[in-house]
Amino acid sequence: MPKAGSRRLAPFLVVLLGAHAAGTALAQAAREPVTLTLMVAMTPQELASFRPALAAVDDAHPEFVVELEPVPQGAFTERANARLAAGTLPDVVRVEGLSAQALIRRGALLDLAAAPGFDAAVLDDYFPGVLEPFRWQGATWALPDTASPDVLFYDKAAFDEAGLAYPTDDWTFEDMRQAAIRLTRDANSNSPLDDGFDPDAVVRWGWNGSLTHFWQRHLVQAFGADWCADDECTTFDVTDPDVVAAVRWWADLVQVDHAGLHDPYSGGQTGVPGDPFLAGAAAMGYNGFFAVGQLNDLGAVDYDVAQPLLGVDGQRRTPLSTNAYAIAATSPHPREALALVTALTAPAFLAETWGRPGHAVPARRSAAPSVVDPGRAPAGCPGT
Amino acid sequence: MLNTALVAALTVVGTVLSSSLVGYAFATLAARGKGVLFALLLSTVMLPSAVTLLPTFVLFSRLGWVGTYLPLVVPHFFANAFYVFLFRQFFRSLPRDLFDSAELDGCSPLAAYWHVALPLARPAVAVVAVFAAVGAYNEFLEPLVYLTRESTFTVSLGLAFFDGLYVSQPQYVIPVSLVALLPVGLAFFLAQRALQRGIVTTGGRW
Repeated sequence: MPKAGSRRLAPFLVVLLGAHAAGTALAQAAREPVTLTLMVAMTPQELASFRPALAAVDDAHPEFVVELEPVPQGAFTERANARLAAGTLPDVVRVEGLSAQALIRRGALLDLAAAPGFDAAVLDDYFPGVLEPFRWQGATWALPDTASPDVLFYDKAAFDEAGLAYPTDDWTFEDMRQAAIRLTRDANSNSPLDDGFDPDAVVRWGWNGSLTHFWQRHLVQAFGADWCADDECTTFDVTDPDVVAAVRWWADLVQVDHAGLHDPYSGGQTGVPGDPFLAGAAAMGYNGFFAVGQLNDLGAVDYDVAQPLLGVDGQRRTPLSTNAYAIAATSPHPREALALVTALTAPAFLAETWGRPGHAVPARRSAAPSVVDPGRAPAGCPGT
Repeated sequence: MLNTALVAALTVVGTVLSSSLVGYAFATLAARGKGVLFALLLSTVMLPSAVTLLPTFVLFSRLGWVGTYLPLVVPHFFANAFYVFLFRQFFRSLPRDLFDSAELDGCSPLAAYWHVALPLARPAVAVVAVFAAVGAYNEFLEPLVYLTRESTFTVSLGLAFFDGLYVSQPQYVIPVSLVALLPVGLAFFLAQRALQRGIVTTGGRW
């Protein structure tokens, strides 16, 4: 080739080589997985099921690498508030239904519809009401994974010892109260109906609590009252006569009947922190599905369950313990974060991690039957 | 357990060195406004840790220290007001002549601190070391907000996982707590004599 021609070609070749190098670098950067931080508040037993399943999700998604940040359940708020103050909330956070609105209304979370690739059709697979704790101003801010209702747990041995029939699905709150009085025992095995009963020496209560928390709205609604003065329950009204009557019913269960606890969870009355039924200090009570695993693990209580009690209007009401995955509004990787959330709420993942191990009821209709033990399924249970 | 031991050891070293040095300075050196400075230092004892937690977290977050042990250890290298007070009181009880003769022999104040004051302060050092170690061992809130990876968790943080939102698991909490108590109990029995002497000398009380 003539020298003049090669000189004209050289700059062109330099530009071509430079463009190739830049393109290669960009392509490599595009292939580098992003690191997603995932904060979860779980018990050690739940983490034991969750970790291997999360590792499988990580392996199946080369576009991201997950760094798990476990936090104790009772300390989630402190950790989340500190991270929020510094603007470093993890990319994906598993939030509990009771505390989700606090994060949503502070602008900490991303509207899922704004996340690239979100398919709203997935919401159709959720049970009604499950999405409500994570909705605000018409938007959905988190995708639930578990939704465990409270049901009536009862100690069969306590009922046998008292000579009482087991609870049925037709029980009302008054049926419960009558049984709870007869199931309560003091240190001398006297019930409140016996002479010599010592209310200061109760060792087993008939009911595992009373009206002790603001979120127990359902225990007031069961008596035809409601202490929420508006739809979003931002204002309380405890002056309504119906509300007063409902609250008085629960107060009498504790103070007059001596069959309920005024301080069920701290251990101040029972001597053991945590739910009194699980501790063997109550003959029956409402508990969430988490109690199944705990009771089976402890093996100390021969228990069974019944449907929640009927209210005065013939309706059953129960709180739903929900958890959901949310994307932080400050996450620099919303697309990958949504892919992670989608994987963590996939029916197969929910069945493997939550349903089959018996930790909680999956929030999606297609995965919920996985929690049922086929050998002991209730009559008419779907999928059995 | 090893994580907790590492944090506690570094905390003890940092607390003893920094607090003794500052206490020595307040006790032996002359400076204008020393009284005001000392009052200002003591006023920090009145600040609850919850008040400073969030601003401190923001600071360490901006430094990129969250997820490491640095936020748990480094602040202890900047003296603790209460322990500075203890050391100051101890050094003031020593004869002034000791430091004067060291100065006459050519010692700088720092050399006098290292070669004369600190060796004499063994009882006070023992008290501060034990208090700092126990405090670091039992600390929960700081490991909760600063440590993110399970492999770095301390004993107090690990124990908290057995206390769920709705139910605790005493069948795990009690034996783990017992095991966690063993190192502290052993340290107390081994350092008991020095601790008692130190408490008598410094007047420090729980």
